[in-house]
Amino acid sequence: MLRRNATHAINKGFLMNEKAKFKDHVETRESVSGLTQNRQHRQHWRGIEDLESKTTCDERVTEFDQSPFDWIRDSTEMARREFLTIMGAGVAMATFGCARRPVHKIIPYVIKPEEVTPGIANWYATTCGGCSAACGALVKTREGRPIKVEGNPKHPLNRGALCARGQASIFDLYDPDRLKAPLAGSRTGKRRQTSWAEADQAIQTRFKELAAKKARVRVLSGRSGPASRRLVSEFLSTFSDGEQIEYEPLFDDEIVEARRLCFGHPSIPRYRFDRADLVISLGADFLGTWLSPVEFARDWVGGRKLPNAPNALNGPNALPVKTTMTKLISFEPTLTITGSNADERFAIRPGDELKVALALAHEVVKSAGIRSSSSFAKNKAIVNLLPGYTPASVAKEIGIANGDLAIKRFASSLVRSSGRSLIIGGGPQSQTSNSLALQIAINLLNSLLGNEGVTIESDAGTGFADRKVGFSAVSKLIAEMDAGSVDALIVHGANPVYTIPRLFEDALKKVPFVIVMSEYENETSRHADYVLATPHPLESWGDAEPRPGIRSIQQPVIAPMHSTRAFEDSILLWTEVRRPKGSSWYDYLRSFWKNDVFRSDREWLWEETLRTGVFQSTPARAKRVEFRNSALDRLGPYARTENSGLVFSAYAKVSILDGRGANNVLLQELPEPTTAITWDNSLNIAPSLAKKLGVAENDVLELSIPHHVVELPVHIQPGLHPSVVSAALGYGRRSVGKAGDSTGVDLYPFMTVKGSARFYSGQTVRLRKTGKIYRLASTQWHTVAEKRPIINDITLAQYRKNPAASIHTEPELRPARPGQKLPTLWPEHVYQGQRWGMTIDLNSCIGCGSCVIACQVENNVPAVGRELVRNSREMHWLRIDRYFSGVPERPDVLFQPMLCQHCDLAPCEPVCPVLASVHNDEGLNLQVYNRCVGTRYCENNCPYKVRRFNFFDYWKSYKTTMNLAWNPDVTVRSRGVMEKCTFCQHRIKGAQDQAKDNGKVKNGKGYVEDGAMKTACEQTCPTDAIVFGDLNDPNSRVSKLSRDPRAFRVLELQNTQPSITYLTKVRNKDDAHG
Amino acid sequence: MHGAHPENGVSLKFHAKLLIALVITGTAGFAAFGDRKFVVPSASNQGYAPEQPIPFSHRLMAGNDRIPCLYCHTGADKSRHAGIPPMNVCMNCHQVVKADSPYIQKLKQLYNEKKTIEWVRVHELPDFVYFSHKRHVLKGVSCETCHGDVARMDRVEQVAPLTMGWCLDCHRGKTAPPEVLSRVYPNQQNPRGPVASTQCDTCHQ
Repeated sequence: MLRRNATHAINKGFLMNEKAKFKDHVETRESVSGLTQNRQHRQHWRGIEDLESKTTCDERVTEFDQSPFDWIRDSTEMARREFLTIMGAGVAMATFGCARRPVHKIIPYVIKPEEVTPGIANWYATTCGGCSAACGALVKTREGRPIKVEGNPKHPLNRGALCARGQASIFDLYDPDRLKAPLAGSRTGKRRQTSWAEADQAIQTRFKELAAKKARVRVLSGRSGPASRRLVSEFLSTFSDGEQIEYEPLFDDEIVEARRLCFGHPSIPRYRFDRADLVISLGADFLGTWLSPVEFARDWVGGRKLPNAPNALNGPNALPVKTTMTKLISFEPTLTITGSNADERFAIRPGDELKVALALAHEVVKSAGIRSSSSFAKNKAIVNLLPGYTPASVAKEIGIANGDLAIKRFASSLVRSSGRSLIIGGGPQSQTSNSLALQIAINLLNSLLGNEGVTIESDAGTGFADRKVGFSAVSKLIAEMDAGSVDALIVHGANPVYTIPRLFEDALKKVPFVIVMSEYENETSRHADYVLATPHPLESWGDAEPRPGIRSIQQPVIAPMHSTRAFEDSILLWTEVRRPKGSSWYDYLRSFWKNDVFRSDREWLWEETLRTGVFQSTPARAKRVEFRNSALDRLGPYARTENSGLVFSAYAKVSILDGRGANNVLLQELPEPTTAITWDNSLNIAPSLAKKLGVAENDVLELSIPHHVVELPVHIQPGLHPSVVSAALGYGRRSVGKAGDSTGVDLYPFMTVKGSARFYSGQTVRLRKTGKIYRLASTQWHTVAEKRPIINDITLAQYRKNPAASIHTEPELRPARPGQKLPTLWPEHVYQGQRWGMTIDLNSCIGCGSCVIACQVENNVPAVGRELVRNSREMHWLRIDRYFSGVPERPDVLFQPMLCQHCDLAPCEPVCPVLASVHNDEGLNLQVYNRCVGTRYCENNCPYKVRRFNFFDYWKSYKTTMNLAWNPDVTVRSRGVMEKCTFCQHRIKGAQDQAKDNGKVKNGKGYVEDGAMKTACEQTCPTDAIVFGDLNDPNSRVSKLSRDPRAFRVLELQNTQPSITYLTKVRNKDDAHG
Repeated sequence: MHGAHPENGVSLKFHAKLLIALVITGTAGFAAFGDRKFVVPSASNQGYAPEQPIPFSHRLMAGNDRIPCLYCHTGADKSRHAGIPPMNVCMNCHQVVKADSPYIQKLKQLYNEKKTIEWVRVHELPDFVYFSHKRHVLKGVSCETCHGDVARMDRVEQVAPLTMGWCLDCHRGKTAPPEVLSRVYPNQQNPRGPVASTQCDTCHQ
């Protein structure tokens, strides 16, 4: 006994020593032995718990439960006896399970369309219906049904990329909760299905009456395309007072109004992120949810890439090729992906963006000087207002340490980059009563800096002079309805009872005749006389004009699945609007395009537009617009006291947006990039505030403003201002379907309405503990880093000194360098043909999550639901891991897409007892589904934890129409089978097949040219962060990128020799132009 | 050879019986599985020749009338599925040909009602298998190699086991038809060797 204790004590001491050494090695900046000056390794943490050392595998819920009874006890309280009974019954049933294969039918077409060959996909160009940005989409259809939506490479807006919402829109088409037939009587409480004939009869009669007398008819829609708007205006002209109002909840009224005041042109301009060296975002999440995020991400990322530099390790004087990067500075109330990608980010209260803008203007005016002859010089606002907004006073008020120095620095950078900078603002998270002034101040700044006409193009943006848009128009409508003067209201593509709570509902009750046209029943349709089922955008004709000069066509790719009728077809039917009777919306659209767009009757123009999806005409030349000083009268004075108390910020998630994605299971299950939470919205609070209040993660707090109270579970979010709490809009839906109803809490009622303006954020709120707990389905701790050196990021200055500065592993521990080989147990793989590999540029990855959804749709990866996500059983093959570095109050955020690394020495291969996990001759690690018996040893052995196990028959929950969404080229996995990323092996095979057809054969296999084939994640990425290709071809993009000095592989220490190389993130911490 | 007492363990007589039983089983087993031609019935649909809604006879169509396979099964050289001809292909001829037959009249009636014949599927691979007709047809594998002498079948019968082992035998070159072998090894006198990929992901995708 004594001896054992002694030995134990010695061992413990020895281990303690080693642990201490390791601790030093990892945790301190100035490391001990081995690391040189260049290899400064920053500590990365995944969340607050990491900093408090509360994260070991034992404490986190993983899929490896301690005991099989754990999950039973948690979920169903089943007693042990019942469990054994069920297990016994299962065994008995299994023994009688052998039977002959059932009879299957094979059913041909009656008349096969010429263009359809079963097994070969047809692609159609259309416009994406995920949001109102109107990106171009290419839809892949198999046997007449769409299975994948991808970006249209020929479309100038998105150029081949698509965001998460666009990728997930295929599931909205197949949603079983869609309206399948028109309804009547919802508002009387006697809701029943009706027929189109009956509905038309009643509606036509009513409209005839209204046309005969002096009637006021209103159409409330979402953002509409030009042809649709023209048709509606023709329809409304049959009434004595008809108007169409377009309302999108996230529409930036203030931008339009400010441009009207400042430049005389109410519009949303075209923002040229590709021309800006310095972007300052005052609250606008332009990479995630603001206006046209795919277009902006694509434009912006060009200046962030650091293309392949010759290896500086080759010689001390070898200089890198490109050492400049654009710079992004963000001031925002809640952590968004834009803030995460910013080089410098400051957390502020909503409403304080204006102060920052004015302080910047102060400095710009001071340093650039204004000629005394210029019109600005004598302007009241410039003279009286700006001098008070010194950077020091503003920084003190908004609570930024050393903020005055930062603001001064930014101002001088702005002046240096005149005409090459861009200041933007907007979005619900920073929409307060200061927002109009903020936009005016932004316009002033951009004008002073010479950005107007260069990085902001007024004429190239969308003008709204002849349209009634935004909340100001809707509030006028509400007033009319309240006064009882609206005789009939048609709602289409909008859900105002949900997005403008109380006000709209009360006013709606006074409208005698309400028709709602929608794909789903929703909160508004509950108050309608007739709810007419409309088809999904993938089943509809239409058009869009995202910008002057770009016209997108929307064409149906599947015949309407249910008894639906397009909004425009209904309008045409009810009143013969100077068209021959019986003509359809398609006919109207064609003649509109012939007369208004092409201005020609050449058939081939239409055919060509359908083929490419877009028609471009010469856009208006951007001219410099004159700033009107009168706009500055709208500025100030403002209260200069420091705000005390908690302020609320409502934001839109990249997945759910304004609520339109609420019933889409894929979007609900997409972990939010910044919080890693699925299926609910949370109350995000800063770590210091959490400590002050004494609340922990998942505690339910009561959030209240004077007339509304809600309860939300807490999420502790690094990067928030200590007096700001934020939560996402779009949750707490009430009538949309199984996934959306009762998921999360509705925060639209928190909005403030003042006159004809509406503000989502800036309210003073109170918090109160309820003592309840609600376990958020967070994916944060489903993988644990345990302080291993998984990721690193460096600054531009460090990169310039040495591009290989990012490498955080010791040279002797980096086995995957060319020429360096560690001895291994296994014989080396020899790849004679092509060898597949991938590079992921962390400089480009913005964390938007569109790759995650694209992979899910392409590979039949199921969504599993909130309870299973809580148990770490989400099935995403590709996940975006989020890392922080720095301090919790001002962290730097880092995203890393993590997927199967297709290791050369894969730890998952030797441990499979049935050889279901094998290697192929092209470098891929394969998973043979039918061979797998579900041992899960491979999952256990995978250091990257990218293997997902099918614990249940998830495919069975895809009922009725959802089964049409499966990709027939990929096996649908049943219970008991392991799955993981396959590098889209079916696409590789498809490309090899095509290459063989074209005669490009090498070694008996089709030879795939570089770029001929893209994996699903690579294809959709708005920033081209992912590059896939042949590592055996020294000239392929992926080979060149993997030789970049920034390249590293994750967990190289394990000697798994992954095929995926990551390029270290470089942050531009210098001023622009460095 | 006295029958031993139970407490001494198992008797020698029992041993003998056991040995005989094992030998018989072993021989039967070898006969069944040893030369690997016989496949356990539950593992494949070999011999499956179900009744079809219309007694379509390949012996008449493909044999007698010599209609080429690809006239009807148009997908065979274009896609992974060979396909069953759509009704309009049947009606190409049967608008006028043999209009008096009750089966043709049934065909016509269904066609006019915009309905199809629901054929019973004979050759079917599990969902987790990817098989591309196009690749095989373009490589020179004739239809009869896998489907047998269809031109002599009144009722389509699955003559091949279509098991993975059977497919692999050909891929490995053991049972590959000579026209394929000579294409893959054009320079050899007696071509021999694997003719196609045996990587797992070729079929399991």
